[in-house]
Amino acid sequence: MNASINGYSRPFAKATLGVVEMIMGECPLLGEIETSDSCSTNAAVNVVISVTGEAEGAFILGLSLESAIDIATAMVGSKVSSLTPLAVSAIAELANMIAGNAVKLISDCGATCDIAPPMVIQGSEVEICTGGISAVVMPFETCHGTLWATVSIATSNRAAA
Amino acid sequence: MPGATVLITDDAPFMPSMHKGILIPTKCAVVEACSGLEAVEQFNAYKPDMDIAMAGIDGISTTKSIRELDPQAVIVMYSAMGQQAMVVEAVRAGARDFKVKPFKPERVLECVKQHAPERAA
Repeated sequence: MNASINGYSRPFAKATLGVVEMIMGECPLLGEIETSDSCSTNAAVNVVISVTGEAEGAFILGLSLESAIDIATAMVGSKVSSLTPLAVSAIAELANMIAGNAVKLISDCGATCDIAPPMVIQGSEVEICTGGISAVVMPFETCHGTLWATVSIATSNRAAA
Repeated sequence: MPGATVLITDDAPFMPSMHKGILIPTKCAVVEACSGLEAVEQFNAYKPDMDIAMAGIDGISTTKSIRELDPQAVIVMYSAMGQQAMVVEAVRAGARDFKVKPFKPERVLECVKQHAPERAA
């Protein structure tokens, strides 16, 4: 289903554009946004970061193995030929920086929240259940392939109560 | 700054690796720690000119521990989040500065030059 950037996906889109531009030296292009009821991903490498607090849910950064290796190479500064622990740490850090910058923007708008350390999951056709929160999937075209930024975050019941 | 010893504390390998890649070519020595406990041990062992540490609960308590050992210790914290409350807590614990990730390599060099100037060439 086609969709537009709204709600909690907006700060994540802004953070992804800013962080990727700083890391890769060029601003990515945001492609066609989609929404879905469940939060599934076909990417081979996924970094999952839980968001807790007055807004809660998950942010998932998905990318192909080739993109993960290319981006890790760019971040580490020397050739990476496979997803070594250092390469995995670099990809996890990329997602961590996006989520951290996004959560700062959300907190600035009055919803205090925090992020958990990133988890890196390798393997295609992964389905991640986020408790019935719908997901916004934003594809970002970069010089190292597509980054799939999935945002499945809602205002928490505790904050709304 | 050349000759400065910098302690980098992080529980993941990427950020220490990045800092080493930036600082070692400038003749700085880089010491690593992957936990708050190890950071205190490394601080005692190497007496670094400057500590760069991840934020969070462990980072705050580690900053306090190191400042108790040496009230003049120069500690800079970093985080992907820069909420005001986190920055205030870090500074209250004794951090000299707080950097929000991502940052460019030149910002790391500026930071070390600014905070470890006593050995400037």
